[in-house]
Amino acid sequence: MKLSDIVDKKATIADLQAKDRDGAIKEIVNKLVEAGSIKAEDAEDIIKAIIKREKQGSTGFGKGVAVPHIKHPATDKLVAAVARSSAGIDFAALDRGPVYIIILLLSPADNAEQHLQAMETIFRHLQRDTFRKFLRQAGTVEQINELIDEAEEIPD
Amino acid sequence: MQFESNSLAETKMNVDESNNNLAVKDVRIENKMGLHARPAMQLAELANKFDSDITIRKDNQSVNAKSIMEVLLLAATQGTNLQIEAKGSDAKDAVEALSKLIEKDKFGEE
Repeated sequence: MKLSDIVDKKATIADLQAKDRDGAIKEIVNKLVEAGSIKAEDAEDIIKAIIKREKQGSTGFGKGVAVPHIKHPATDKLVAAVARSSAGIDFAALDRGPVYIIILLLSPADNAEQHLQAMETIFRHLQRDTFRKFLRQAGTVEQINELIDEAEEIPD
Repeated sequence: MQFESNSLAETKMNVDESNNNLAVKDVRIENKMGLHARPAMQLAELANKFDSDITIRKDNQSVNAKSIMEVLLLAATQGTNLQIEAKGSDAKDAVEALSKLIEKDKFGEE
């Protein structure tokens, strides 16, 4: 599975307006609605479910990245969105540091294997120092989307 | 003194010259959702309580059990066989605790 297979590039955000975790989640989900990946009427429930999930345990796994994710019955196709914050967001991350890159993942409720594969794809890239650095430096939607397309070719 | 024959039989132990214990155990992912973020976090948290270096293997892949991101890279679904290897003063306890979390407690899931 490639990163470009799961990311909806129409939903990429180069600089989040939100200054906190819940606001960032809302902004990304609303962007996915705008991009046509999820229905407007499901947005509120999805936002609530992701925030609830974050409260159970932060998906800010350290190194400035967070991967909020849920399995939701309104999702019929697995989809991810990439967002960047230049100011940094408090995600209650495990290393207590601010989060600059958020990859939000929505999975259908009934496919555990596909969900794990998507998480593997996301973390395979996010744990690479070069990829994280490039993403943090990417100032525009075009630059971020280019990185997503070329993710497999970026050296460590 | 009670002799723990049960756990001794299950966990292979070797003592090398540097007095670093090595413990190895094969486990299987039993919970339906597999090793997703929450279990990976539980696993890494528990692994961090031990001084030993702990490695988890799946086929040819091996990751540091103390790193959530690395554990997530295993993408281990239900039924996946893993090998836990610990090296250090508390190697045996580490392997026992981790295998209990994975197989017996199933990360508190179904």
